[in-house]
Amino acid sequence: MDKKEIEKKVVEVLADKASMDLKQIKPESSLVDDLGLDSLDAVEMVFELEENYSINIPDDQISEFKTAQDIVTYLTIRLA
Amino acid sequence: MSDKVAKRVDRFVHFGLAAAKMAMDDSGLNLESEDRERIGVIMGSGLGGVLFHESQIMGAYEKESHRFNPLYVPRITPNAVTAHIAIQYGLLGPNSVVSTACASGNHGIGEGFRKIQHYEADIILSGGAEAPLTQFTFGAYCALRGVLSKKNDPPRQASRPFDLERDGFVMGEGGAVLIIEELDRALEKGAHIYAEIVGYGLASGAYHIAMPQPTGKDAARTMMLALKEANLRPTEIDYVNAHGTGTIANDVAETKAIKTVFEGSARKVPISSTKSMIGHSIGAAAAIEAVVSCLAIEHQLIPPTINLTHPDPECNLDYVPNKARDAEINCVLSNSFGFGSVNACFLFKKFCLRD
Repeated sequence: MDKKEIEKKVVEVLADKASMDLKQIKPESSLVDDLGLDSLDAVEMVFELEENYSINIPDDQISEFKTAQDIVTYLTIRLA
Repeated sequence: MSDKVAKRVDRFVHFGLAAAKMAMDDSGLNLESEDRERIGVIMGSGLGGVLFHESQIMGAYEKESHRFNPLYVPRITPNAVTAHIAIQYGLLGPNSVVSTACASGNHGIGEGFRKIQHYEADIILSGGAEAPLTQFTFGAYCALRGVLSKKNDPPRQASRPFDLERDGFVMGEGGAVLIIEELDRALEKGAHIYAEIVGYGLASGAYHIAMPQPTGKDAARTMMLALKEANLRPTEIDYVNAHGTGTIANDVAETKAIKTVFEGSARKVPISSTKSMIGHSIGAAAAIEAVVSCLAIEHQLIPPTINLTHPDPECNLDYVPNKARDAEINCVLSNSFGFGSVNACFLFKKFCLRD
């Protein structure tokens, strides 16, 4: 799948969870420090990505997501 | 509330948070000078987060998916409403939700009242919140038959408590919060006192899961419990805010109960059902009616029972038909009766400084 499309989707989901504008979401944005997401936001975000791409993301993987880029990189590999 | 919270909660929590904010703003309560460990939140809700519950089930059905939203549990739990109010304001005292169907609102305020009486808290935000206007809930109430009105033409005439042509209630939604505080503290800080809670009655009819006791004897007993605590005689009551759902069974039973309690003065006391105007919001209804009762005292005005055009011979008391009435109001009795024969009645009194 096209990386740009994945980036777009991740930014969209993160902006929604963080209640921020799309422009405020940068690849290096820290989920916790910059976007203020808590653990429930993270599982909700993962749930939406799973639904969108019809995949399962393992529990262990969620804690590995520190920045927006981490999610994009993971999805790019998973959906390749 | 923040966008993030708004997205994360069911509609009934929106009502609770909005009502809490309105009450807090109106009270002028300064939390900086209060001990937050002594401030609690106790509300009633009959159904909790049914809207979210339903949307998830429908979504799963339509998508043939077996996956659950990770926030399912914290969204549907009834105490989401008191939890979010406490989180919003940092209130560290007693926190709970009471679920007794249509009596939940009064029951929530009652539990708050007792917490103040028993010195378990200085201030309680209490009331009720409900968002039952969902396809499933509506269908479920329809399935009970005789509970919801079928008068769709015109809809504004469907809610007609105590009228011969009534055929059930019109479902509503909403929330209400009262701030209850121990009297001396309220006086010390010069708080605006809408009314004093002087009596609360809570009892069960142990009769039926969805029908009122036809003679109204349990409802009467509950009103008498409130009168007894308040040390008031029925003749001292200036207005009764009835449960008055507009179901055939409730309105006759409640009328009989009022006759039992008020005896010879039953025909003199003004009674009205504000559900005729705002519908029946299940677990929020009694809390909204508690606010109405306090405002009746504040404005010395009795709200009417609208759509009362064909009096039922079995409901032959003064229901303040169709037009609000100016009156001297010192004491108001507010009734609520829930499915499962749960009755909760309040007595509110105009506050006057005592010698």
